[in-house]
Amino acid sequence: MGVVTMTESLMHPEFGRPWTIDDLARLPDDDGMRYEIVDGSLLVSPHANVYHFGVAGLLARLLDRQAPDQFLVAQDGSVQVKNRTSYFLPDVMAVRRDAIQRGRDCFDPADVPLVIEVLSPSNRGNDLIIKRHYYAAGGIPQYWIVDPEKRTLTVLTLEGDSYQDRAVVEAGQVWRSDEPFPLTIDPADVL
Amino acid sequence: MGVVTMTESLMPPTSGWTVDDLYRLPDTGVRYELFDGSLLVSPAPIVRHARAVNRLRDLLARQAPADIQLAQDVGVTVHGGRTYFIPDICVLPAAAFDKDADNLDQDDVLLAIEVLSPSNPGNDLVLKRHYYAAGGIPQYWIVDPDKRTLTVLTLDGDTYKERAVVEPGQAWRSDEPFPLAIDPAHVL
Repeated sequence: MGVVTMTESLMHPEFGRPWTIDDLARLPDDDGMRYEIVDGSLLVSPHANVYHFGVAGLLARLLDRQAPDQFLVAQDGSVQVKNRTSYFLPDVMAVRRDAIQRGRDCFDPADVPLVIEVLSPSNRGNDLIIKRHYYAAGGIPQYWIVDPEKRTLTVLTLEGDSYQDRAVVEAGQVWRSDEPFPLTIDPADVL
Repeated sequence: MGVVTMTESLMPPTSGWTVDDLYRLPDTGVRYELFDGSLLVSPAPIVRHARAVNRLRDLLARQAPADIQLAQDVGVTVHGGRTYFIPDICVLPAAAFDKDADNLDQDDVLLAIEVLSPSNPGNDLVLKRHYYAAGGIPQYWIVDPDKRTLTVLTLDGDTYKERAVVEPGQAWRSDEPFPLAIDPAHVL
């Protein structure tokens, strides 16, 4: 691939128009950046470090082992909300397997019963403010926030159009739920 | 100028961007802001947005006392260089302009004002509402050109409370940050 210039990549093709998922194809995928879209603005964040990646990986494995056939729990997925002008890369997400067959460029919120973010010490606002708002706006029923510093798992569930704190699970405690499928998790197993 | 590669110009430290990194980004008409070390690139505002900003700034400037100044499109850092926003309008003590600094900080701002863009209202309604409150900015106004309203938010603890939603034909009167009266009909 040729050199992508800053000017090409950060200038929207149509002046003043919002970014959409279709514009992401113009951005380089190997520059160590995470590109997301927040209501038409491009959000560029550094990639997660090794520890953050590991926590997310362990979470995905632990949950996928407990998932019934109709679900998959994995890293590195993407979900759009609101007409392709908001697009996020959750650290971990549970998805319906039948959505995989449709082969779209990202998941719709209706196919995502659970998203999980692992907080980075450097950027908590993205998960605590932005994603808390937009995952709820997309109607994703559950949002978990794992805090490596506090060693907690916060479980948020959708009430109307916003999330309510359902539980703050500390390392050494076990969270049991029947949603989105019967599962148990102790934050100590991933942190 | 030569071609600037992504690798040279965009890579921030792994801890994220700070306001000092912004000068390296190209000036392509987009707006660069930061929160908690993430870079937010927003489309340039449309004409109707600029008109509302100009009218509101003029209305406020006519009523402002000598020790108060208005700033348009000036950057404000919030608790250090990792969070940086460019409010459409800031109301400041005139002394804030005496500082020899590249940008304002949160303590300089008496009132921040944003005019919603139809393409992306979320940043003003969600993100900036959070960070302006976190910075302790006493008042935040949100002008909605679609609904033709002015929403006045005032700081209550560490979050904003909605103080008034002013409709066109009504006047918002307040003594803070200075004695003023604003009717959204004159702005939108």
